[in-house]
Amino acid sequence: MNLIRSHSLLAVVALLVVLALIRVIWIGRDGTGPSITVYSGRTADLIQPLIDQFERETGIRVQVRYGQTAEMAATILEEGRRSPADVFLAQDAGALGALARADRLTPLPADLLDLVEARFRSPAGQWVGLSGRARVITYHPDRIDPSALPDHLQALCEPHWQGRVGWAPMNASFQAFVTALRVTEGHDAARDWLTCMARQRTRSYANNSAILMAVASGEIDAGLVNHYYLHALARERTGALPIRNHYPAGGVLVNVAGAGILRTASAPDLADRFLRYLLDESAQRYFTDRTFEYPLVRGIAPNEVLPPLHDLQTTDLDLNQLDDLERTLRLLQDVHLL
Amino acid sequence: MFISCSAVDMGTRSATTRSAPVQAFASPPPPAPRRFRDPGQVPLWLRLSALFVALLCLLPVLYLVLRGAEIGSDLWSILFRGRTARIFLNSVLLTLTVTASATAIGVLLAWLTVRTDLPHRRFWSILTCLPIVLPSYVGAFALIATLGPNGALQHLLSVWGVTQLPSIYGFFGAWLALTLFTYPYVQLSVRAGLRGLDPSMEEAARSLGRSNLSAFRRVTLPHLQPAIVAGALLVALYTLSDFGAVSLLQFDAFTRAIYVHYTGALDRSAAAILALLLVVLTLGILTMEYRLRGRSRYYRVSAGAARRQQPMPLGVWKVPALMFCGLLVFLALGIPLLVTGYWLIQDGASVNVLRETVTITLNSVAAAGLASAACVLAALPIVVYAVRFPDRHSRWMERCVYIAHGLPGIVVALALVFFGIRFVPALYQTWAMLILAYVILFIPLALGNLRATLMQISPRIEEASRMLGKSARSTLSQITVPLLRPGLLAGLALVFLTCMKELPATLILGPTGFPTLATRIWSATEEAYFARAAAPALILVAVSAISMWIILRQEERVS
Amino acid sequence: MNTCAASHAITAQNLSKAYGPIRAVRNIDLAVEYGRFLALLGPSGCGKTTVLRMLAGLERPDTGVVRIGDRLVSDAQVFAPPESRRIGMVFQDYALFPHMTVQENTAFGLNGDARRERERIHDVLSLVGLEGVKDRMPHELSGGQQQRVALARALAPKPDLILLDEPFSNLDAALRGRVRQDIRHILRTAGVTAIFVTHDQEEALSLADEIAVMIDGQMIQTDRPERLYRRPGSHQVATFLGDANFLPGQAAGDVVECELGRLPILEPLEGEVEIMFRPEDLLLKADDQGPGEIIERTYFGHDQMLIIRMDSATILKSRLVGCCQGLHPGQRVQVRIDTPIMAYPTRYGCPVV
Repeated sequence: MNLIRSHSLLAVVALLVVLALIRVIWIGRDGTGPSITVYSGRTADLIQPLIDQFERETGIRVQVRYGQTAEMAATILEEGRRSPADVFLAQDAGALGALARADRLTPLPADLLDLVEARFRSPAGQWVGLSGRARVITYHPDRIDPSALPDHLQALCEPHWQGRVGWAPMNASFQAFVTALRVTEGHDAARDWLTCMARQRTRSYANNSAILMAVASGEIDAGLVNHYYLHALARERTGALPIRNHYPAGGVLVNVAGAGILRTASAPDLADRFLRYLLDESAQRYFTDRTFEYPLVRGIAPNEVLPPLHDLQTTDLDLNQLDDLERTLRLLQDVHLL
Repeated sequence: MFISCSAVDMGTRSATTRSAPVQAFASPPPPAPRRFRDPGQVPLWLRLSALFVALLCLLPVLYLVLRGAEIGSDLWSILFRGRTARIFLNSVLLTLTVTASATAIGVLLAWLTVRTDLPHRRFWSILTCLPIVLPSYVGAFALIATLGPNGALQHLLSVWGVTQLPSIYGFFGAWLALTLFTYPYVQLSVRAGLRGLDPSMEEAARSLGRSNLSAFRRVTLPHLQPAIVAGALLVALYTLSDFGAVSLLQFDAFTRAIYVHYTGALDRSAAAILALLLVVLTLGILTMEYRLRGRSRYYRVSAGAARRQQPMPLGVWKVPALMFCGLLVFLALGIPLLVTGYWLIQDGASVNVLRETVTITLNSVAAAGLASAACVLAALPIVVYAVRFPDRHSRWMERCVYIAHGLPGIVVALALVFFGIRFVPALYQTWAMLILAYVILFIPLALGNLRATLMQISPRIEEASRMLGKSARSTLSQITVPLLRPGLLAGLALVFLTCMKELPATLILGPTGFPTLATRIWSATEEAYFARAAAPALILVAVSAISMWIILRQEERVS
Repeated sequence: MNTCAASHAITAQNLSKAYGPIRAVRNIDLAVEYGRFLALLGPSGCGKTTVLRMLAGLERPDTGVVRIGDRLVSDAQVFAPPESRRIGMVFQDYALFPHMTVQENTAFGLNGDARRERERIHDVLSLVGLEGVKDRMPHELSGGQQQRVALARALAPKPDLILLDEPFSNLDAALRGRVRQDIRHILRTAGVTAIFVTHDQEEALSLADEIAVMIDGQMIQTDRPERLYRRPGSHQVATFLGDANFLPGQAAGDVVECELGRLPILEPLEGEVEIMFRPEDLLLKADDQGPGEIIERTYFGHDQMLIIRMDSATILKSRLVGCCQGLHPGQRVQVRIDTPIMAYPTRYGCPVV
């Protein structure tokens, strides 16, 4: 009797178990043929269509694990020599540099590296940039006259910007930007600027999306973000978006999303093919057209909504120096931003 | 008189009765007496299985110790810099306030939806419990969009000339968000406790001249203490381990510092040291919980079993009660859904979302379903040990089980990466690994409810079953487990709903190519594709609402 | 040995149990013949429930041997778990399974084929008079009905022995007397051996064939009810089993010299003693010149209790059946004892060897 009464609960639990088993079998079934495993810090929205296309064209199966760039990097470090990953796709150069320093990445062939300008890849050849991201000031056009926007980010610590600017100190791209500032302007200048901005009650947000939301709602007037968020958001929205990007004339940092092949990769040749595919014209066009990033392979023009890369006064910086994150983090902690 | 003749009677009677029992038990020959344990001692299988579960739950701590040991000279600079103390205090403050407010709301809602004549009780039960399923980063986003500076609320109020609202950022926002998204832990836990409560106790208190309110305060409340404390503990640990809400709402809590070390310099040792501090804090909370738990026995000792409870009339309080429920549902569920719906409306056309969504939903439901069953199974030996044979060992085992719950998900996930790939590579990044991670993360959700329910079941009932010839194990399956059902259900529900929104462990340890609703929502919001987050978010709420409904219906049928 | 064991449904020797420093039960011996009822009588906290639980196998004795029939179930090496002992038990709070109907509760201990099981349930439920409520849930029953379900459930598997822990303590006084008779009838009809624990001497005297008095974890005296009442082994036992009068006296063989004169005693003694007699042994006669005065009267209907103060300030209790004219407070009386009485040696007295 008592069993009968608990039947419906049992049925629900049993149903779940059956569903789960179906899923397990389904996932486990497709283990045939050549395949590579990719740990991707780029989210599916930014790369999955490209991967699908690669699978269709080559017959190589790509198993992708998505996550935050830093979490994926930490996972690879923790996995050590037994890591199942062949390729690591990162949103920023810092994480790639950290893996390279831990000797987890294998040097890439010269002809592959040469597809990309030297400033967008590792000099030791352990990783290569796939797409470029410009650090810009995003602003609300109704509240700020574009002509009033500064040519240097440093100028944002002038008094009239007090309380009107947002940034995301926990974000890797912001930290890369601070590293660049340290390298180009010197540690003390970077410290002074951060202190000044903090004193001006610059608002700290969790990530770029949150800054964009805040600018759109008029919560702040300007924010420090990567350029492409605006375009992604604009395409999703049917209505007009009250946000614009400003590329400071005095110098824009172009960070890269890049990739490397693990030293312990089980299929390095397939991984090599995958990387070449991502640097192929069609893939670079995908970054250009779909994700609004800058293509890094020579001869491909960026999306028409973006100012061309060569027109930008880019910061004269070796991206490899971006992996010197430790001192940046210490600096950010010293000025109580982290 | 009777005895004088019984001397003769007795002889004949004993002659006849002596044959009776022999006949009755004639079929199975009397088993040879064998060595057997003392019934006051913990059975070996129970001790071993409880120990196994406790040790599994200690894996993250072991990992932290191993990683932390690599730190070297930086140890003191991390431990003793001013910032560490500040974020420590911030976390303590947030945890205390959120726990207090969530407990008050949770107890009140549980009582309103279980014991009173509130109209449409089941409807309110489901709605008020649902906020538990919202990932805190989604909830926090929604709160900022509505209550933040220049948010929807301020636009509404600007008609009346209100140009500035108190800032949502910082302590207030983090407190509000975490309270709104954690009170269901207390509510679900107390629901189970209220259902197991003997109504005659409240009646007795009232017959002694106590008013309704006073009867509740003096009799019901102390009796519910184990359930309340169990729920409050979950809230406290959730608050301690949460990262999404505190980072979006710009409150400088401990988890933020841990994340900075992981995500910035990938400095796992420094992160481990800070996480170990979090473990210390968790142990402090557990000690406090043990003190508060109360040492009285809470099973019925009077004759007879529970009678059906009569709902208490709310009278003039009916309208305020409805308004209270309505306001909470609006804040904790309505706002996030409206914001998500708004995102969805703005979505131009992502039709292919639907096809993909079926698989993703299936993934989420299957993983959460398996994990909830596994958590309840794993919690059972610990609970039976701790409640029926409370001793020093059981106390420590319980604590071990709770520690991982106070840690951010990424710590537990990396710990399982560390051990998984070294010791069970065959299971690494499979379902088994993911379920194990969920068990370690969420077993306390099942444990608290089971413990509170088991404490209300008299051990005499189990002994009665033993006396009727059932072994300890069949007593467990035929008597204890069926009687534990309200607690089992609440435990299943809590784990299920929480697993649905879990992120770091799912990303790191799930089978490769295993998108769930939560990972989908996260990846979309991460890149500002809010419209794409809308569909999975709404499905997440819908699926949870359905499972909540099933569970509450079950719960009602039980009592 | 063998024949001896076979005549007893259960025997226990030298049972002891300590909880930490508290010695709950000390060196208990007991034996119950088939079909007889033994009451374990004692004040609450005296360890009698612990004895019951040790017999049931719910607690393991620290020392001692328990045999059920001729089966050894517990000694230093052996310990049979409760489920293998074939003992029925009725718990103080009945411990009915709240998630099962009366019928399911009763069937719980049975495992045989369905038809015989149904018959047995029918038999047991009719025995306890609960056929009509077999589909109810426990919470839908009255206290008396719940108790009979607990009894039916314990009787269903036809145990050799049934243990009852304070079976009547949860019933109100009006119900208790009736239920007590019912239960005795049911148990006798079932032909079962029973041990029950109680703190109520009236319950023990009226139900048991034999009573074991326990005080402070020790068994003080085991005897038939009327013998225990008439000849309690000590002052303590005497007070525990009903009202008693005590007076100092000087014994010389079969008689004792005391305030009430020379009285015959049941067991020969020499020297200083304390005599004990029941209130109903004290006969009164109204006499204005008598040595005592009635100072209080409590009327019970079937009898009455009178408190007498002697001129020596001694207080005596007397129970009188029926109504006796003239015996009211203030009346002076003559007192007299006709039956032989108990005497206990005091510190200076000693039994005649």
